[in-house]
Parts: sequence; C-alpha cells; structure tokens
Amino acid sequence: MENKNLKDEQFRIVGCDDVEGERLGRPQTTYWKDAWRRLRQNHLAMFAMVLLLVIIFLTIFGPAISGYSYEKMSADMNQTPSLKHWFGTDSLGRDLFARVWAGGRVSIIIGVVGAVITTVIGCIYGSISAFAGGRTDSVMMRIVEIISSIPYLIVVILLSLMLDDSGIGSILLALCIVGWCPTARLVRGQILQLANAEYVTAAKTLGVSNWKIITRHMLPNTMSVVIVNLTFRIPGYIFSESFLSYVGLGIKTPDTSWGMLAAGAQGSMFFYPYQLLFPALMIGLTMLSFTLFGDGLRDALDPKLRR
Amino acid sequence: MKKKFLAAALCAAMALSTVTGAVPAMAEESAQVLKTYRTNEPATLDRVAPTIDESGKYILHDASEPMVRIEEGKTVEAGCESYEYDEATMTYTFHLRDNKWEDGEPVTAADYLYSLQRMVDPNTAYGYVSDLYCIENAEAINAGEMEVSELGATAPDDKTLVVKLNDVTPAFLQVVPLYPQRQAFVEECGDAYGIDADKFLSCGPFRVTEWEHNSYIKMVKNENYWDAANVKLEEINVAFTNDSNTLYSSMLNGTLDYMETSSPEYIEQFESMDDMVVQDHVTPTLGFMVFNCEDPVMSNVKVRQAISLAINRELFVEVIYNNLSYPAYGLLSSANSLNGVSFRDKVEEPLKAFAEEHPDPKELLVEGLTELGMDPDPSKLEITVSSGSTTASSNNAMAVFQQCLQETLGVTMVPDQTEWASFWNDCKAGDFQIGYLAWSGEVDISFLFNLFLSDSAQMPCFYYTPEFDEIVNKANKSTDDEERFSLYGEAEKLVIVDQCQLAPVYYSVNRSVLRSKVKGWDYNVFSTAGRKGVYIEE
Amino acid sequence: MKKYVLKRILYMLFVLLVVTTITYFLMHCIPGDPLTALVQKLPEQTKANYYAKYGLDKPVWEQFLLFLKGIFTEGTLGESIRYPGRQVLDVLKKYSVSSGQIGVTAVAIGFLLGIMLGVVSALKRNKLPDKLISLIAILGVSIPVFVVASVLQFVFTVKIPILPTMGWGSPKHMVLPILCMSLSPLATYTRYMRSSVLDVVNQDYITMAEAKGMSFGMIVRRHILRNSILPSLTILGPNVADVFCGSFIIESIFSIPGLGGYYITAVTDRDFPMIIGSTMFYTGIYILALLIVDILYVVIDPRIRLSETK
Repeated sequence: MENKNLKDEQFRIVGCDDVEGERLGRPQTTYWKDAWRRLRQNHLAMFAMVLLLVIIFLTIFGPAISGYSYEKMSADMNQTPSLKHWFGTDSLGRDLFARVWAGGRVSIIIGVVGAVITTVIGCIYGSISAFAGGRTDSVMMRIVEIISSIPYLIVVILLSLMLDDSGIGSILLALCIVGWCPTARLVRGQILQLANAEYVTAAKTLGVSNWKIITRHMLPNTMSVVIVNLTFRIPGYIFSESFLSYVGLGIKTPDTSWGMLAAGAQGSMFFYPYQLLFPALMIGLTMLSFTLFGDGLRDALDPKLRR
Repeated sequence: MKKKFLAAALCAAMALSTVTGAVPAMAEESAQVLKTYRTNEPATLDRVAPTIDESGKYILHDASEPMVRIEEGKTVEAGCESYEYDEATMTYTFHLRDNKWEDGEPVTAADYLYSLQRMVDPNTAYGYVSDLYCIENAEAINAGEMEVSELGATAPDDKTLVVKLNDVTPAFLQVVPLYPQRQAFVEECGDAYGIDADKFLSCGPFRVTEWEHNSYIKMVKNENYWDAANVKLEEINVAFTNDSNTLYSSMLNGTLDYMETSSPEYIEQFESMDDMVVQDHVTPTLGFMVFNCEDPVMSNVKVRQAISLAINRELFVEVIYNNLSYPAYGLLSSANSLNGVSFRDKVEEPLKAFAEEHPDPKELLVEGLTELGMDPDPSKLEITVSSGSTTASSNNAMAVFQQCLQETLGVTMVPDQTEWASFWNDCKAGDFQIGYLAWSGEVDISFLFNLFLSDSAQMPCFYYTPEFDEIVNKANKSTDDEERFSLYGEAEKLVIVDQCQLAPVYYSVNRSVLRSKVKGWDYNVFSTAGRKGVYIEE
Repeated sequence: MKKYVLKRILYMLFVLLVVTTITYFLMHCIPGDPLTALVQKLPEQTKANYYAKYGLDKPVWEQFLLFLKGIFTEGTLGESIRYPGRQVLDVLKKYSVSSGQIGVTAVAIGFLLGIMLGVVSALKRNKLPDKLISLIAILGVSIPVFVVASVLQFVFTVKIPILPTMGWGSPKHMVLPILCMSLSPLATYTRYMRSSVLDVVNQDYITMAEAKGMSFGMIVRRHILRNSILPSLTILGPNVADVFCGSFIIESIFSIPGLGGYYITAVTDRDFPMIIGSTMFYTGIYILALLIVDILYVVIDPRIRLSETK
C-alpha cells in the first residue's frame, strides 16, 4: 500500500452534499438536442434549409408575385426572359415564372411527400424482414420481388381507371405502390450487416426488446444510406410524375409540374433553352438543398463525430 | 486498391477508345444514296396484313410494284403495261409487264391474284377489306359464305389479270391495293411473311437488304426491276426515329436528307440555309372533335353546334401549329380532288356560313340546354373533352379548347387525356362526351364520308342517319364529277352543321425540309411513286 | 451455401410463376385488346377469326392454361399479335443483346467510377474534391436524361462530328448511348458510396489498421471497401435488370433496336404475348440479379448469414 504514510490530519471532512454530487459539469443534453445543435453550426446545411424555404415560399406565393395567371394564354409567345416576364413565356404565351412556381406546388409535394412515405415504409418493411430473418425474411423478400416485377405501366393504367380523379393523391399512390421496394431491400441489406455488430449482441444479451434494438440501434446506423436514398427519390419522383401523365394519371392541363414543363420544352430545347432551364434548375436546386441538408443531418447524427 | 481502380478505369477508357477507333472513318459512300426516315418502323411489309401501316406502305412503294401508281396526282401504269375498263361488264383487264422478283423469277398475274384473294379471305383479317367489296363475291367470301377461289378475279394467263366488279366504282384503282405476292414464298414464311428482310420478296425498284427493327431499313437498287435503267438511286436508308432533336441534329450533320416538322424555329433555320428546300403541302388529315350523340348533354344538336362554333380555329392553328396548319370549317381539306379539281374549290366550307348566321354561340347553347330541360346557365355546365394523346402539343391543344369554351360559352371544360388504346376503347364503347382526334383521309374523296355511314359506323358518334347514307352512297357510285361534288357537299353540310356529329378544327399541313441536291421528289401527299424517280445531283 | 442457392432457385421459379399469373390476369383487366389499338373497325366475321386465331375468344383462365402449356410442351412464349410472325422468344433473344450491351456497359462504368469517386469524396470530406463530385452527382440525376442525350448528340455529331447521330451496327453507335446511360448510375453510386464510406472510416478497426502501419491502399481495399460497398451492391441488382426494359428514351433518341421500346409499346398496343414475355424475361433477370447480390453479401461480408435456420 502506497498511502501508508498518509496521516489522518491531512484529511478534513467537507460534508456530504447529495444534490451537488449528482450535478454534471455541462448542461444536460439529449442525443437529438445535440444533433440539432451541431446541425445549426453547419453553414451549408443551414443554407440548404433557407434555400428550401425560399423555394417553398415561392411555390406558394410565386404565381401571385408574377402578376400573371399561370393558365392564361397571351399573344407574347416564346419570349425570352425579360423584366416583363422574368422567366420568359412558353409557346402559348403563358408566363413561365408563374408556371414554374405553380408547377412547383405539385412537384415539391410529390417529390418530398412521396420520398418520405416510401422511405418510411421501406425502412419499416426492410428492418422487420432483416431482423426477423429465416422464413419471414424469405417470404417478405419474395413479396418485394413479385411487386417489383409486375409491369408498372399496367398497374398504373389500372389505377388510373379505378381512381377517377387524377389528383395528387392518386399520383402519390401510384408512386408509392412500388416505390418502397428498393428502399426495403436497401435497409434490409444494411441491417443484415449490422445484425452481428457487437453492440447489437450486447443489447440482445441485456434483454433489450427487438423493437428497441431496431429503432435505437439499427435504424440510426442505417440513417446515412437512408438519407441518400431519400434525396435521390426526390428528383426521381418529380420525373415519374411526368411519366404518369402519359397514361392519364398525371396533372391535367392547364395545371402543370416541373417534370411536365421540362418534357414540354424538350422539342424546342435548342431554340428556347430557358423554357427547359428553369424547371430543370428548380429540380436541381431542390435536390441540392436536400443533399446538403442530408449531409449536414448525417454529420450531426453521426455519434462518432460527436465532440 | 487505388491502383487497381485506376487500372480498371484505364482499361475501360482503352476499351472505349479501341471501340471508337476500330471503325475506320466512314467509307466513301456512293453519291446516289438517299437518307430518309419514318417516325415508326413498319409493323409488317405484308400489304394485306391487318397490321399494315403507313410506314409499311411507304417501304412497299419502293420495294414492290403495284399494278398502277399515282404519280403527281395521275394514275400511271406500273406493274401493268396497260389496262382497260369495260363499262358494260364492269371489268378491269390488266396486261402485265415483264417484271421480275429480286431472285430473278418472273412476276405473274397469279401473284397479283393471290394477294387479292388473301385480302378478302376472312382468315387474313385485312383491315380495309370493305374497300374490296366492289369486287364480285368479295363480301360473301369475307363473310365466310363462299370460297376464296370464287372471287370475281381471274388470271387467264401469266400476263393478264381480270377483275370483275359488282357495281360502278369510280375509285377502284385508288382504293384497291394491287400488289403482287408470290404464293409459294408467302406460304413458306407463314405468319412471318413480311417481318424481316429475308422474309420478304421485293419486285420494285429497290430491294430490302437489311432491317434492324426499331432502328433502320436499308434498300438497294433492284437490278431485276423492269425499269432498272431509269432508277438512279443506289441505296435508300430509312431510319426510324421520332425524336425532334435527333432529326434536327441529323439534318445539320447530313445523317438525313429529309425531315418533316411543324416547328417554326427549325423552318426558319433551314430556310436560311442554301442547301435546303422547305416545302408545304396540305394533307388530307383532319383534326376534329367527335361528339358522342348518345351522351345526355351532347344529344342536343344545338349544344353540339354551339361547342363547334365556340372553337376559335384561327387562334388554335396560330398557337398550336404556328399557322402551319389551316383552320378547318369543313370535312375535306384542299388536298382532296377529283380528276385534278380540288373539292374545296367547288364547295364552300359549310361551317363558315353557319358561323355568320350565329355570331353568338352562347345563345345556341342556352337554347339547347333549355330544350334538354336542363339549367340554362352555361356556367353550371361541365363538359369533358377526351384525347388519346398526352404529348406536350396535345396538352397545349386542350388548354386552347379550355380557354375558347370558357370565354365564348362560359362552360367549364375538363380535359381527359389517356394513352391511345384506353381512349379509343372508351370511344368505341361510347364512354365519353367529346373526343379530340385526327383522322387521315385517303386519295379517294369518299373515305372520310364513309366513316359516318350507318353500316360501317367507324366514327363513334353514335348517330347515323339514312338521309346521310343515301346521299353518300349515291355520290360514291356517281361517275359525274359535278354531281359527286354537289352530293358530297350536301353530305358535308349534314355531318358538320345540320347533324353536327363532329366539329372540325384544323387541316394538317406537312412542312418538309429536303436537301436541295435531292431531285425528283414527288411532294404530292397521295403519291405512291416511291423513290423510283429520285436522284442525287452531283 | 449450395443448399441455399438451390432453395433460392426454387423460390425464383415460384416467384416467376406468381408474377406471370398476376400479370396475365391484370393485363386482361386493362381496357382494350390488340384489335382496339388498330384504328380500323373490322367486320364482325373478320374480327371473330382474328380473336380465334390468337385464342382471345376463350375465357382468360383457359388462355392462361394454354399459355402455360405452350411453355412446358413447346418451349414457346407465343407470337406477337401486334407484329404477327414475330416470335416473342426471338424478339427477346435478339434485342436483349443490344439493350444488354449498352445497358450493362453503362451500369458497369457508372458502378466502377461511382465507387471510386465515392471513396475519394468521402476521404476528402467537405473539401473541394468532395464538393465538386457531389455537384456532378446532383447534376447527374436532376438533369433529365433526354436533355443530356440531345445535348451530347448535338455536340458530338454536329459541332464536333466524330460520332454517328443514330442507328446501330458499329461500336461507334454505342458510345453516346452508353455515356448517357451511365450518368445516373454514376451519380447514384457516388453518393451511396460516399455515405457508407463515411460510416466506416471512423470505426475502430480502421484506426487499428492504421496503427498497425497498414498501407493506405490496403486499408481502403481490405477494410473500407468491404464494409461500405453493401448499399451500392443492393441497388446494383435491380439496376442491371432495369437496363433491359427501362431504356426506351435513350433507345428512341438514338434509334437503338432495344427491348425498352418493345416493352412500352407492347403495353400500349395491348400485345398480350409480348407483355407477358417481356415481363417474364425482366422478372427472371431481376430475381437472378438479386440472388447474385445476396450471395455477394456473404462473400464480401462473412458476418452476414443467409441461412434460414436461425
């Protein structure tokens, strides 16, 4: 024993303060609070959020700001962008600024909501399948294979017959009906890989419930891939919507969307590139903001980067 | 790993470069090559198949030899040296030329007879078989009541074909396709006849040598052709594409010698180029709205007339076709003619006078709605216009209709655009209100009228009258041009104004760009001359 | 493993049968038949003959049984109705080659390059290369493919005429289509790879390997790639299958004789034998690709167990 020569007088009683003993040096913070704090410090992510808010703001108020109706034709056809028509006009003389933002309403809703819905469904399905394993996994994956293999065009034509109105609801349904399958496989693959990680084994040994293992341990660790998946879904769905109009499930004239604006400008893209540029730019910017935000979110959620 | 990746990337790049480098710069081509295109590939080259389409007919003009061709608007002998028509017995007699198939065997009258027999055979299911009902026994054979061999057409010898008609048919040579098909070859191929280069036998100015489906057809000069001495082109390449940007690039870099477009930007650019010739020609194609006369609202003729009048056709062709099409106030465009006299020069478009009588279509609509016992307030009326096309231009057309109907009549219009098969199925089933579509007329002036006959009932308007039948049938059989003009004029007024089964919208115009070194092009829309007389000026 | 693969192949046949059955009945539910797609109105007798020829006059379930019988007894998928004389099997055999040549090469290039760029992007996180690569990736998926195709076509056939505008036959014809089709996979794999590499670079075993003095190349190959390639592999499977049926835009722009166009027109023309044939073909490739991916999972990450007994 080293402390043999310590003497009693060298110590003094300072008393015992129950409350102070439990006090932490730093203010208490949860995982999510901490993530939010770090997210706010990420300038790019914040910039992306502002950009997204601006786009959303404009899709709501843009058509009104333009001073033109997005559906009203005029004699000013195929005008290049000017002070009068900020984004120019299309072949029917409709103001493109108004049309781009009116179209954005549809595209943003379909892109974002569709992506979120399918990602959530895919996550739940994929994680259950991977975690359950065995026969359940096998059956669940066969179902995914079957759903993905039936020709989409046939499904959509049938849907367009069953759903009489072709509002945003039916488009979302058509997109979500098969859209969750790739996400489910992606999440399943990730979870299969994680299933044998030490912390999962530890949690299992400690008797943590399966549900908690999935939601607390596995899903957060697949987050990064899921976020990428989500950001790629957004432009994907925006373009899919214009494909759906091919079978009559899309948006009806004179309403429009970014995908339809882009497709409509294809024929004269060498002559009026701006008619294509603006809708394509908006799709790109939306995706950019989601990507930057996603990257930031990913950094913020990553426990390994915690300082 | 990085090294390996780099290696892989290098390999890929090398593979690509060898791939691109492996092909020597395009071999010096013979000058007599025509490079043209079709928007879709032929479903078949079997002239009598139910699936024969415009692309198939196009290739056949070059690769086969019909009995007669229509060149520059005139009927000229092609597969036959001469033909005569005997009015008393209503019999056509054709005297064949010494033509040969590409394999050197002679083309005989039996070959022409065989394709006629196949056409009326109910097992063939040829789409326009009713055009052949003018031939003796054809209708009975097609109904399965008689044998194919009993058809009123015979080949007394190798060089003579005799066709006996059962009624006066002024349009016989125009509507009955007389193309040779060699029985032994067709039977050897079975169903596959006409679907590949090696499953088809040419006897025209050119023979099909390569057919890469959905990509291109290549034809070369047929040395066995009877008039080979006068065929100058060595080769024709027909590409299949419908992408307007591809066409544009192809015209600029010489991949194509010919394109059709309705885009004013392209035209402007090509017109400014010295080596391009831009040409317009009216087609017999009519864009129109067909009314479902069994629909509760559309059953009233005044409602239909009001809608027809409400369409601003001048605005429509201006914004949709940049004035490249003409506003239509009748059924037939100026492309249709009888013996060189245009129908439109003889008969005024009926809708024009009617429009002057009714400057305010809204009144008509209100009257119509009152007659129907409905709320006469147009703003409470919602009508649906369906279309089987979802292209950008179709979207725009719908937007124009919407605006016209809203502004002139105050009614709300809902567009319903689906893919073609669903749309057409709904139309045939009567499950629609107004359908917007385009229909192409034929060289035979009666073609568009026949769509509204009660026994053919091709047009889904669900309203066919004996009055109209009588006039058209009389006109179809008349041999007096003046009488035919006036009868068709009456029929046109019935279908467009008095009964108003359809609302014409536009006459389509083809605007084509041709490289100026290409000479001998037959611009006539009804021409079946093919590329026989075309040559490249060096 | 052998047992597992055998089992999966059995499942494959089962899935193929289910998909075929469902599709067969679904396609008969959509309005219209091959005759509707043709505009002309045929006389009744003619129509009846036509239907009888293709067995369309029988009840759907009977047609289905006949179809199955045809597969098992004669090994035929039937004949196209819209394009009479073209055997479905022949069409699939012939045009899957051209679709495959272009599509598989494009996906392969996109995959390899994407993985590489993804790793670079992650290792240079938030630095210039990363930002550049991310920007390219975003452009790669948010510019519609027809725009890329038309612009490249214009540049390389009109401005710098070194490549053919359209057509098929020589390797030169493949360059532009492959380039266009590889963009989207490139972008996708880059982003997935970046993300999953970031997940592993801070793991203890990487630090450990570094501490051991393992060379950088070895670390990337032995540890980083192995642990991060899984998501990219997962999407590679369906991606390969899709190129056979989903490339109709590129095909129509460059006039390529591929399956994509057939697949779409089969549905719009209601060409029943062609629809069911291409569906079976697609399903077969799709499931096969998934099986290979599942096997690769184990090869790459031995921790994954595929066996069904748990």
